[in-house]
Amino acid sequence: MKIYDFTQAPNPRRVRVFLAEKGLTVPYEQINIGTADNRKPEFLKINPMGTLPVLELDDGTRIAESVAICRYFEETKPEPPLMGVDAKDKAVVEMWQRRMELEVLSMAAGSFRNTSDFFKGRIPQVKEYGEVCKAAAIKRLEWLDTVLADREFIAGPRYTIADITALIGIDFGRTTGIRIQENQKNLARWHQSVSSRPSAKA
Amino acid sequence: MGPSRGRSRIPATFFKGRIKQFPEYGAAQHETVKNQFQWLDQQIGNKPFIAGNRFTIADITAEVAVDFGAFAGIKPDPSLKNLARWHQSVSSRPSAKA
Repeated sequence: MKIYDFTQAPNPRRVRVFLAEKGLTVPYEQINIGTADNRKPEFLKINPMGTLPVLELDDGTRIAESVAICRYFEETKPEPPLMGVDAKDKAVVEMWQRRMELEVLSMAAGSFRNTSDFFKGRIPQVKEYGEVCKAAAIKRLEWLDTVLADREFIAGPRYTIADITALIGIDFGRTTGIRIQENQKNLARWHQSVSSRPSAKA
Repeated sequence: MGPSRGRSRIPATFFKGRIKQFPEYGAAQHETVKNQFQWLDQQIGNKPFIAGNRFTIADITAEVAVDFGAFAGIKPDPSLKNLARWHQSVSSRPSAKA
């Protein structure tokens, strides 16, 4: 088993943090997105979408998409649970995970993809759309601050995959100036708490 | 659903004046969807369903995306035979009327 990884990219970090929380170690192979190695024919044979991370199982099965990879490890090593514990909790965790993915991480990524020189000449960039994504992310952080007023973690009293996605979305947002504001005390408290877990260094 | 969602917010008048719309971004997304249809056709190949032999939530999402893409003026090229066969198959399930 191994995971195709790129340490500087946000999505592979989701899986690394998830595995650290599970106490699992999987060998990593680095694929450099900076030099577009993920778009070279050799890697497209591994994942035709060219995205990272990718989990490769011993039977040759390849699983792309961060949450799909997390799902595999949640099923094979249920403790500690990071994707909910019963029907209602699993649905609630998934709701928050998806919100953090669409509203925070995707917006931070849309801001970066459309305004940074990193992808210049490699993907169609629409600067104005990047600005819209940035503004949306900033607005979502305001909302997230109110959500965290009455709970320790994003999906409730337990640390879950929703916290991982939000942490990485917020940290990645820094690349284009998306930041937790001074008055967002709940969000700052939560960010401090999840960032101080050993898994955050993964 | 991503690119289809992006595209739909551009040419359609549905969101006009309600959200910021960027025709250039919509056009880029249009190209993306066309490429993804090609890729999806290859992925389906001879399989009955997207994730393999069983109808799954992946088929539901793809079916809704293809149908919603049509609403935004994006139709899979008729040369994509696997995609056409799969779409015909999932659309004829009673659940598709839901």
